[in-house]
Amino acid sequence: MARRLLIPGLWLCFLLSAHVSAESKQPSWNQLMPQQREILAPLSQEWDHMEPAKKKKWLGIAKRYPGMTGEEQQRMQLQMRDWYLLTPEQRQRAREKYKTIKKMSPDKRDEIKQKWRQYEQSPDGALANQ
Amino acid sequence: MNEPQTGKKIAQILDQGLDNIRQGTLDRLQSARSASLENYHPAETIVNVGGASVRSGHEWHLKRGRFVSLVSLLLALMGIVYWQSLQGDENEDIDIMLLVDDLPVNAYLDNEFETWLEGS
Repeated sequence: MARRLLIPGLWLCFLLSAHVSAESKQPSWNQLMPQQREILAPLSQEWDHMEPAKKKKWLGIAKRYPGMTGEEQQRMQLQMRDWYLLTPEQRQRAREKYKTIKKMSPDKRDEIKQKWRQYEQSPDGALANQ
Repeated sequence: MNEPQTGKKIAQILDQGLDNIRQGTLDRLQSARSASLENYHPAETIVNVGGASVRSGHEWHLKRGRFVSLVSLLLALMGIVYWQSLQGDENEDIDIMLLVDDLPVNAYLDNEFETWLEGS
């Protein structure tokens, strides 16, 4: 019984270790393709010090970038670096809030977006954004 | 005569008989006792009769058991790493939606805005 399980077990170990070692090998900034460098330009300074898992994630995002609208691409590039510089806790908090807002009705979501624009122009918002 | 009294009586007769046992009977009892003691650990004797091959087979079984445990542990560890990498992919989707949304990231993290929103 154990002998029959041994070989598939070892094979699975090999496959998983190959997967993990592939994860840990991610390209440096100079090894990226020109198109990837263009998309990920806001992260150029941080790239070479970035953890492999994060590089993999940003490369995944870059892959989906051409499928985005012009406005989405612009917003993505504008926010990329700020997002990267947030702490893991801040990112998680933003994700949770995004999920909450996403569950709201389209009208309610539009209202929040409109109020954000008002808030940005208000003295409170101007102060917070300084 | 009740039970304890009968027991005492039998014990007395047996004790008296001990002094009168013949040497031949004593020898037979002694050899029967030795024979019983020799056969006391039958399982251990069987392993020894098998000799080196039986013992090495037993050791191989133990080693295999340890090896299977080690492989299981490795699999569990790698499973955790793999699961974490899948978690990363799950966040990738939500991060993209968040980054391309027309509500900027600051809006989700600005506590003042939340207070302002509740008050307005």
